[in-house]
Amino acid sequence: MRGESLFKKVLIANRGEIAVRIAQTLQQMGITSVAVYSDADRRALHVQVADEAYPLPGNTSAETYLRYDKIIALAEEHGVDAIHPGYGFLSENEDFAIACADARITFIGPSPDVIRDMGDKIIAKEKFIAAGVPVVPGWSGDATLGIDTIKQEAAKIGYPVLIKAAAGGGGKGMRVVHQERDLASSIEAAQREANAAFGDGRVFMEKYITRPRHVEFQIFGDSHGNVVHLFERECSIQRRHQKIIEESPSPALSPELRAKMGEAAVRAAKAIGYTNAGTVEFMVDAEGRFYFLEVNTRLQVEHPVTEMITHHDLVRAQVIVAAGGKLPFTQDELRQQGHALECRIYAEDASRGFLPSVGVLEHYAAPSGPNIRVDSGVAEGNEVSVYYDPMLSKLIVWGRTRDEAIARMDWALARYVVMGVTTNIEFLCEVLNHAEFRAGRLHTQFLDEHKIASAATIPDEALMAAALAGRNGSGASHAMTTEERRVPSPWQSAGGWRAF
Amino acid sequence: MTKLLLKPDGAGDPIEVVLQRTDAKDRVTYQITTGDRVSSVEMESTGSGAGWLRVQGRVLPFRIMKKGDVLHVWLRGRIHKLEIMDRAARRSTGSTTAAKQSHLQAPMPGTVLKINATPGAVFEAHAPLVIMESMKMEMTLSAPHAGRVKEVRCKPGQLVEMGAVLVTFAEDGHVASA
Repeated sequence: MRGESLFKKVLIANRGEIAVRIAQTLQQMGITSVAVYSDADRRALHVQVADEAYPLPGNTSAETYLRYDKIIALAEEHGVDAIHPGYGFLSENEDFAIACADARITFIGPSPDVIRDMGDKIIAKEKFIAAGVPVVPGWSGDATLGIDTIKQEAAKIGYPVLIKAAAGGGGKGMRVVHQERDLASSIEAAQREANAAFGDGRVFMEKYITRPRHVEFQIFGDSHGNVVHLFERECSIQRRHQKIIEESPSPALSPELRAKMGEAAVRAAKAIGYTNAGTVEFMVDAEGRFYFLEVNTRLQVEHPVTEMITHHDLVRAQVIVAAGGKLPFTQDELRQQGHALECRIYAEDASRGFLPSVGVLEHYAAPSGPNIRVDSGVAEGNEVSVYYDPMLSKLIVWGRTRDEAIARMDWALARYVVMGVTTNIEFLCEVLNHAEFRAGRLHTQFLDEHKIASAATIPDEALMAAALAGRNGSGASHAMTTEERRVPSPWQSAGGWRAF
Repeated sequence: MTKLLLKPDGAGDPIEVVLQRTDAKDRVTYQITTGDRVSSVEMESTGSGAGWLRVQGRVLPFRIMKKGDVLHVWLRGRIHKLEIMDRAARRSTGSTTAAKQSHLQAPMPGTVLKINATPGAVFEAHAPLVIMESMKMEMTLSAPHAGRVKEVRCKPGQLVEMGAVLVTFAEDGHVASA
């Protein structure tokens, strides 16, 4: 890419690991990266790694990372050429994309029209039907018609049905209904959640496919009419519709099915004039039939999986395409090499119903080694607050085979130190070592149907470490001898510790 | 010699651990007795809650932190929580979980979305009493057992701290009709 046509300065309208990851690529391309941050994020990692950083006063998303008027004002004030929205927040907000264009700032993503159409799950479904892509049978009528009409429609589709938010994503505003008597309350809950999350309470209904796999295709288009796919990611391991483990290739796709699905994704993307990065999500049933689910008009959380198997930097490609350049790869050049696996590290407590866990990261050390990548948004000493998403980081590994990738992931998870907040690391290890996971028999109800046991036994070594550390501060008071003071206790020079 | 009583978090009986210094040459080693098992352990510490154990040639890095009286020990990807107890404390634990609760608390800081409880109302076990939102996730706080609502101490839209009492329950037998 010739330097003269690229941007000089790009603002990242996001926080956490994705803001860090985008800043890294921008810097490597010789572009100045600009971070924005809330009060709570004043000392966050994404602020430290950026070249410039400007405050967004307040704490909640609504008063900070969602305030695009403030973000665009900052961009104008500091001579920003383009804005990368990351994922979440403003990334799929058509009004933001329009406001950027009005301010003569490039929005790094698809056009506002595409964001609008694909953001409306009902319109998106119609467009994909028109492009000849199979979709799940459903009903997208007016929910204000009354519960009796909806009950009739649900009966026509056949239970179980799935209630989804028209403006939805990330599992918010989604409810599975197994029987008619739960329909009204589920619609009410879905509408409430959708309204809170997206400011749009419209919901629709479709046939709930039992034990489907979630397989999505990474698509990429440029303004010269080129559209390609960068193969699939299987994201079937989900908890409450939130993905937690993703991989590529999918253990379920034959080369023929892969070609067919990739071709369908590209055909639909071309039909809607798709530019920049996007993801076409499909459900694949046990018989290998696939159904269009939705399009995410942004960089996906799990994009590193695709980067690991294709050896292409997707953020770099996004910047090039947004600046008017041609895609840096053609379909024929793209290869799916080896196997990549990603685990999302969440601050949540698996033993307490996955409640988010907040606190200060007293210890934080990410694993490293060949073919191990950690996209982290936090550092030791950071506070995990109640204001934002509880995802701390993503651990991504590559192996020549799926087994090799799983073994590497298992190794890396066992060396990932996060203390101060409770994380899902142990839970991820249990899933990874489950026989059905190892066999590649995945589906989106995997975690509901398989008991994920955790080892309850405490090894003697843990007791030893605790006893040696606790010997000075326990109820059993113990005076240190002079000689013993030469042995550094782990409690000495304990910077930010609250104890003792 | 030091004796420690460590109680695993959640379930499990306290475990007695006896430490005995048994230095050899310039190395500080301990003999550790847990139950009927005796081990010889060497510990190195970097002084900031990190270190490693050497047990019969095996090297085991660990991390450790303390929250209140609970030690959190990171070892090979797992975090073990052990409460340091003295003998007096040992007697008083273990009988609190089975009792009926007197109130519903916020398990997380967050916003109250919906309240399905009114003073005097009777509820079944697992009835959804309060719906909260925290970290962008909606969660339902269910009744821990059947009972009757005494008082509602929160309002929809209210931001509550972790541990805040949201709903109190009437005590068995004498239900207030307030």
